[in-house]
Amino acid sequence: MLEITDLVHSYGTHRVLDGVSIRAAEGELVCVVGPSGCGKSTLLRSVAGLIRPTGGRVLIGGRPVDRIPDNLAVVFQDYSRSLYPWMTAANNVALPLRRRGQDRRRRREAAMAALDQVGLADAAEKYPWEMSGGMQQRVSIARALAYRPSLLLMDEPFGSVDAQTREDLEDLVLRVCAHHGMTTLLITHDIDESVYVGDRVIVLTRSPARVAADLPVDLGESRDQIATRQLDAFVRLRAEVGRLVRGGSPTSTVLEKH
Amino acid sequence: MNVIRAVGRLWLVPVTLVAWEIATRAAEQPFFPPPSATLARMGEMWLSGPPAHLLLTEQAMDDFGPSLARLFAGWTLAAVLGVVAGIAIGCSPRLSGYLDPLIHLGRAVPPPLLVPFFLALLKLSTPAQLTTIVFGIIWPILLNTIDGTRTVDRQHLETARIFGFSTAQRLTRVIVPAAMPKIFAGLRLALSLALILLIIAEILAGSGGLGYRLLSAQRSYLYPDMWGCLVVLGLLGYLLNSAFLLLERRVLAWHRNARQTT
Repeated sequence: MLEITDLVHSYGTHRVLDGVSIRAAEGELVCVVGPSGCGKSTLLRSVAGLIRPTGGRVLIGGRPVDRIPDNLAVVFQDYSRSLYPWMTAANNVALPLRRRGQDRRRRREAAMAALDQVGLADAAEKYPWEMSGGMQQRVSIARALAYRPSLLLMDEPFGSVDAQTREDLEDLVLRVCAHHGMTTLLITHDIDESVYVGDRVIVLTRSPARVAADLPVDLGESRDQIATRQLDAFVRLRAEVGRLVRGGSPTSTVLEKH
Repeated sequence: MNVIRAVGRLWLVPVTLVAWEIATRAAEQPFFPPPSATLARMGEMWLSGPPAHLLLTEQAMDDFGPSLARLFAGWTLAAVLGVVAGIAIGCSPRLSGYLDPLIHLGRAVPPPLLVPFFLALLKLSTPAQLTTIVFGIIWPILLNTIDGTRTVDRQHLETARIFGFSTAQRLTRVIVPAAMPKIFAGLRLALSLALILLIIAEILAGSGGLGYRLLSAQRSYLYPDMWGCLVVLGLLGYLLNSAFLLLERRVLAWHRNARQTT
């Protein structure tokens, strides 16, 4: 579904991405984790077609990304700058659907269904500034869902909300991504989160970023905030990812070749 | 509670009026008629007409009608031209590169100096007056619109790109609403400038209207008439600004609230 091959990007002489290759199968939720400032956002912006990388190749569904693909949605970290404050939640969700050629009534229905999925059916007529941060990020997720992308990109989507909200949103994303079978690339600096949410965790090195490890997460389909985090497999994997993010080398117990 | 507070802030108005009344009566200067005399004269001039016309006299129609028409026509014209040109220039770095020097040159010319030129060019007084108003007030609208259009949040624009908004959608749903707070600030500034330029234009190229009335009252030594015009102009400016603020609050409710909560 998603194939990133030898992606290189430099800002001037400063190299940020140094040959990053990542693959994601249809319906897979891949977490990319790495130290702050290692080029995670540059990676996401290259995949989204917002910037043209210096080198390498990105294929989505077999087609190269040369401009912004029409089957892709992004959830940004900063929901307050991504939602339009002059529109209600329902209008924010419905606006991108014009591109899908739906009439006003269909767009409205799709927006209401998406808001319902994220638990905000009652807040459709609210403006972003009338909602908490967590609610705004739910609207942002609903907007992506209604758009029915084949690839969903999330850039630190839970980075600006409190811990409780963060857990709720993690479970929400797990649920809706599984429900829609959406291929998802989630970028985070949170080690714990990457293991909890991901089907696979890609660890990037310090800048210039390379792939330090590609770890499968064998925690099963259904996850639970308390129980999953207590599993031995979770604890071991989290420790491994933590070591790698801090610049350690992979240990053979967890790393599998594939 | 709000009423009490509003009244509490207004106490200075009657106090000033009473002090003015006492001072002018004591001074007995013809240049400074007491407010009571000015008010009486205003009533006589403008508000002693038939009830069917809301008490407005013929003279009130002659003084206010043309002035208000010019004011709104000039302001509306400047608003349309300024906003449309501002969005075009704000969206196109190339256009703004060409036009920036011209805009700053044009802005630096004091508009009253151009009245004789516009009169010579356009012959008739009303087009010359309108041109003066438009030329004088378009700058804050134009510059604010350019600035507002240029400073749309990058992520708002990126979101529009990701979701593939059409050019029309990007303009009407993202850029214009985002620029609206700055556009409104420009429009409000332009409204108060429009009143000033209206009076200047009517004094310099006049054939009726409040500015013309003001000038002829001064030339005929009718000081209460002159003061009446000044008072009415002050009130008009105050009312226009209040009405515009009311409109702004409705249109930009999202902006005010968004700023309060973040």
